[in-house]
Amino acid sequence: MVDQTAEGPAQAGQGGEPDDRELVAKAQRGDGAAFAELVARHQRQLYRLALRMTGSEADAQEVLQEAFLNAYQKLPNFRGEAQFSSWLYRIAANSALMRLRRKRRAPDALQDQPLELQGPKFSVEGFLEPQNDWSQRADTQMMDRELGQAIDQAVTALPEDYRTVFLLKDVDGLSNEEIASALDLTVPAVKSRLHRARLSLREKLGDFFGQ
Amino acid sequence: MTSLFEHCSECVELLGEYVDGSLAAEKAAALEAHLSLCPPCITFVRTYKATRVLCRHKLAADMPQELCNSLNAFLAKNVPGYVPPEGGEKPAPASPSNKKN
Repeated sequence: MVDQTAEGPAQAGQGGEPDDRELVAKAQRGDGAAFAELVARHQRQLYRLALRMTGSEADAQEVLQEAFLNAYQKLPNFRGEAQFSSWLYRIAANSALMRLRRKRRAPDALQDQPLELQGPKFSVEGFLEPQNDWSQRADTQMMDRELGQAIDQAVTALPEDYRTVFLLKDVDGLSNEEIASALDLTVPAVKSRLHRARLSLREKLGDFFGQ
Repeated sequence: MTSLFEHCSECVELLGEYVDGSLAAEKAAALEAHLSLCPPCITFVRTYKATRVLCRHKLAADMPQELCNSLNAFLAKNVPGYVPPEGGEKPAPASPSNKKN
């Protein structure tokens, strides 16, 4: 399975539309309409990032406003060494982090937390026991309300930094590189947190399906 | 010749990268060789993938239209020449709803 990213259609122009690079150049020359086009292209992904980091729609709205205004003001300094979207995610993530810190008075909101995540159990030799295959039942119970609640509880129980990475990747479709850039993590750290989060959620869903 | 992971724990450790398609070809081949001989691991992979699908289905969030409108109103006040493009927002580049598994 190929890792899809948000870069494709948002970066490259489609059907003769200018790509991000061209729009950024225009916006840097003071073209407000070009900046508006960039906002239209990236606002949904930024909204998801802000929502996942702050956990609040109201906060996400504030973060979005602050991030896009900040991006506009910093645009003359953008040299194009990174993708515009990655640069934008970083600005939005910083804005979200500042907001979290102000609220919690916790300086390191996304740093490592004590981790007690469930994972699979292996025999002493490193082998799995026979597994209950609930994947087929998952298809038929997709609309089940209790399943929805079980998922909510399992995701909420994840440590925050693991939950954020999981939601940004598996629910919102950001690439590992975009997440790493936004959260100031290395790509291996993103992959590791993602995998641990998935393993924990899989265990809890297995419990729900009666494993 | 493809080497084989002897233990399930080695395969589970690499499953994230395998499922995302970023595992090195040689390791992916070794993992698949193990899978071909290990029913518990096959089930594990299925349920690992199903976890992602279920969570995406249940937790997908889209940006509310009112929020798009208020963002545009805010930027129109603060950015000279800001005019939202025709039709307002663009389709999400990689939203969960248009992403295949």
